[in-house]
Amino acid sequence: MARNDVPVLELAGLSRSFVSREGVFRRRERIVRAVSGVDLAVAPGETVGLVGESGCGKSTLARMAIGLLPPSAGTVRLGGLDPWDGGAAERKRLPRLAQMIFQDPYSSLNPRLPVGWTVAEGLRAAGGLSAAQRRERVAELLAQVGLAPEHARRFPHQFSGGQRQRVAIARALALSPKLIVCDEPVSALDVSVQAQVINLLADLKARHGLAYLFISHDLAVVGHLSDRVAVMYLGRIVELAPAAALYARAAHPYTRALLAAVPGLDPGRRRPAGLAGETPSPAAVPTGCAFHPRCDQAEPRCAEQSPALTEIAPGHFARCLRLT
Amino acid sequence: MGQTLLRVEGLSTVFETPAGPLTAVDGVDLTVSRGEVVAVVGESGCGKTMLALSILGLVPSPGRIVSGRAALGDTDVLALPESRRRLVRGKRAAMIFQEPMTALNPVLTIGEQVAEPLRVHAGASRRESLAAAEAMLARVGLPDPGRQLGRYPHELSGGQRQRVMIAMALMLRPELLIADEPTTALDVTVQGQILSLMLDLARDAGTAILLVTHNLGVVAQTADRVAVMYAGRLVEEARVDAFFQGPAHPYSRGLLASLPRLDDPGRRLTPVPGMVPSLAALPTGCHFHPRCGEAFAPCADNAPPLFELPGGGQARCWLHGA
Repeated sequence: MARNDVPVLELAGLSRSFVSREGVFRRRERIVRAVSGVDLAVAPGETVGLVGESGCGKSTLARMAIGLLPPSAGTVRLGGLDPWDGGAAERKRLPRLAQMIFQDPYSSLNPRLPVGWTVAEGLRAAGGLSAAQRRERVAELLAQVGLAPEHARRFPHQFSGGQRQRVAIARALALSPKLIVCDEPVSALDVSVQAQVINLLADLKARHGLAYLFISHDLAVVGHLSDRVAVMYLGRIVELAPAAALYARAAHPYTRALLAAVPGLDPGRRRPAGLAGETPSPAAVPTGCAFHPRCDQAEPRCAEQSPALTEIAPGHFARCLRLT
Repeated sequence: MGQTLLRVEGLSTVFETPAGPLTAVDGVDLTVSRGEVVAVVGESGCGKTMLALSILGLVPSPGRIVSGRAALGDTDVLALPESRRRLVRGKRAAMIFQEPMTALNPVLTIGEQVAEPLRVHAGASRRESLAAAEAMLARVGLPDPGRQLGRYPHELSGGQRQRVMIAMALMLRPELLIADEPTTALDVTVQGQILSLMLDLARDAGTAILLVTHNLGVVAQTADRVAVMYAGRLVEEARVDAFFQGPAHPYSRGLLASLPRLDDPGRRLTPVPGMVPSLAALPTGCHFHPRCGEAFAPCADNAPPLFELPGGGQARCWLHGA
């Protein structure tokens, strides 16, 4: 990892709230804090994993990171460029800096267009290539993701889920971005196919020096691909560490509970351990440490004071009063 | 394990489509003993859900069971007329699904739905059945169960709805619970709670579980035996400890090698090459042979039978033929 390079992604104090209208006449307004004060940087060639359960804000964070959703507060910088502060010319550079792949490649590919057209879309918008050059580039991209040139003429419904995800990856690679934000890219795939796509993402990273912001609820998948892992709970990062350290020495009680809950493949260790209660709604975040109502180590002060994300070992950060 | 509770023999379910008949379940034999937890695993389209539905005679149109039987104790469920089969389903066998919202009636209160089996099958009064429903909701860990009786499904979280489903399913202490991906839609920290709850209540009631899942971790932690399905056929059946020590079928081995593991991050995954075949274009012989690294002479032309394994269990693979 080249430490002195400009990060491909830098999030500072990033927050996003939504207004949710409730009640029969939708007159009652509630503020939902989906993401609160996230600081995170991704270095060139680095994979940062982002794990958390539903409602933790990871997908909202992804959409802000790529410039699809404006933040309520804080800044996003993609290769130093702020997608929300600059002219049209600057925004035009964004597709070469970062791309995104989604969980469901069926809804992210246009069903009425042959996939070759979809893969070439970014190339057409960027200009500078003739039609013949674009066709050649599409064939090359399809080959890189393990598909054949003739697949370019087929439509999304003619592909399996794994192949559609390969098409989505080819499209993301078209403009040689520095960063790909992957939002649950293998969650909809069967295990045998999931492993193929995971290996493909690892190979492309090695080959092109890509950086990934890799978002998933699956801790094993994230651990497998990531250099560093951030754990989110109710809109905040509660732990951030090199992957090996996080899986071997998780410090935050939530991370530890999450790891303990993953059912292992050893029938000797029976019974997945659960965690008491369920994640509260992001519209009613508990006071103090948001995790305290479910934490088996909570102290009285945890209900009142908000812990800060603190470095507890070199490069290992945790947001817990008991650790600081 | 005790005496056999469920005996499935040669069960086949076919879907008539414009493209011709598709065999979703192809001659499956399976037994579940009283109180036993048997997991059926496989990838999407392997027929695991259709097998579960077939056992209770719930195959959706245009599907139809073309052969085989499913006996619960001495009763051949599939030979019964639908009216009598419905009695079996409510009382002796129950089913829970992946998405409880689709299985719960959105316009009836939780209390009415949890109490219904008692009124219909045990002839309890409204008062009695509601009191029993409240007790059952307390046992599945819903806070303030008296208040939950008057709530509607949309007012509950996904985990709470699955607790309600478990309460409904186990209300009459059935002999068999068929659970189809019961925790797949839930967060991992809630998944553990729900699985533990289901296992505890089933054990108390002496209920056997047929657990349909794609998650091998869930299998390892909950099941006594495992049955692996591929393209409609049962390809391996084994005790869970033996299976995870050394699966016998190359497909089972491929599934395990495909999984990223928390205890071994960074290991290069070895996926099963290719993809699951479409039921409309199944390979000849062993359906798995085009993806199998160990295929040899007989595999492409001859469908292997289930061979008994030396350490118990069975595998549908010529590698284990005499």
